[in-house]
Amino acid sequence: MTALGSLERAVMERLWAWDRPASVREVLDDLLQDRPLAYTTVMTVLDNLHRKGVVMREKHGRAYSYRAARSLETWTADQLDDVLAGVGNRGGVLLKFVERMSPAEREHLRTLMNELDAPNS
Amino acid sequence: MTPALTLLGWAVVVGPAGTRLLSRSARLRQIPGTAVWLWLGLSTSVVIALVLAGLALALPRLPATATVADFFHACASAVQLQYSTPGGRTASALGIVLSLLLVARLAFVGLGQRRSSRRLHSEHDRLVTVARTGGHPPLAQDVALVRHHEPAAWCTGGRSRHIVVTTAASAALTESQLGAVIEHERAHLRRHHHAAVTWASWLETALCGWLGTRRSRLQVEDLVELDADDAVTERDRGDLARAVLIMALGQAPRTTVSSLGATGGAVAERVARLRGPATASAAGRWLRLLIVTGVVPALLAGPVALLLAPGVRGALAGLCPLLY
Repeated sequence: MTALGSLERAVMERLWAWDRPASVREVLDDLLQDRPLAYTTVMTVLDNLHRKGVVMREKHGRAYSYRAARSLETWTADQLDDVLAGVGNRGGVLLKFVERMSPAEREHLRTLMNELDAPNS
Repeated sequence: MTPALTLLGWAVVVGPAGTRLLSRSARLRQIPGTAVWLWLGLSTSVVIALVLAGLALALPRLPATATVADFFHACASAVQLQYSTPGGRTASALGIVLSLLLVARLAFVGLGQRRSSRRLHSEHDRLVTVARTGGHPPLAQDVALVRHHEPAAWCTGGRSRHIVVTTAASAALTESQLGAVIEHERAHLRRHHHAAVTWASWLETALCGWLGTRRSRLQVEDLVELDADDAVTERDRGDLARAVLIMALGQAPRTTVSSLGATGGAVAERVARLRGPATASAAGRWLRLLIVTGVVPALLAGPVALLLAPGVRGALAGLCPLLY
């Protein structure tokens, strides 16, 4: 599970809502309605998000424009996949009903299931 | 030197030997909730022994020793003699540095774990808010149904407590099976299983998995599942066994070698237990009592007693040695 910081989350919420490429200036202007921020701070956050693969960027003239690499729905589904795969779950935050099994373990469990399905079980 | 060596010996022997012994005990699997306490007590005891071993080396040089001796109207030299080391000042300094380093590591790992857990919690909360299905009627007030193609269920404890069930699980399970799964998850929250796993994981990370702490964390993770299974009613055990298999077989195969969570063997064990009746034998009750009131307190108090015993012996001697 890729945990986003609060500013990263605020930036992503805008990119997901706009669903189009946006420049650092556009993101900054919108964020400034909530809190004071420097241009370089937003630029660094977007750069980090690009490095993490959360946003894509294209060069327009001298500046980059950014857009979400995945839609909010796809992002959510991927994050849920990570939850099920146990990614980033250290320290007992999540307790899963069952973990994913290896193919060999699944074979063994299939035998158990057949036993359970047998008429006299 | 003796108290320091004894405490070090306690950590090095009791930790690994204890974990091997406990892992082999089938009886403990019958009382998983109590066994969790035992495993946590063992790991905690190892950490206490290590911290106190360093302190024992430093004791002769600590002014506190004289103060304590005064308090008991005992001779400070007699008490300090019990903790004296051939290493002198160097050994004392080394001891206090090692103790402080271990305490600092515990604090550092604990804070890091707390920070990442907060982050994971808030990310998970947002995830559940977005993925929660709008159209379906809620399964229960405390259960979130999220859209996902794999049958799964989980819960988060601590600052934000959630029980989450995927739409695929809701479709694959019967109403009574789903009810049993939710009951299992509620038991995790009610019995504070997250705290137990967090504690085991904290000690494992702080000691880099050494001295049995890794095995302890894995055992605690398995045992909390067994304990939550035991929380469902006798009538629901069959439904829960089937739900375990449906969910395990319905999920995608694991592609990586993961150290986290249950293995196929542990799942098979859960199914086998659930197919049998829940039995709380008289022997099991006595074992529970013995562990909670005797073994766990002894594990925690043992290192403290080892540290204090020579000092008390010195204080009781009544004679003040001549020091040159």
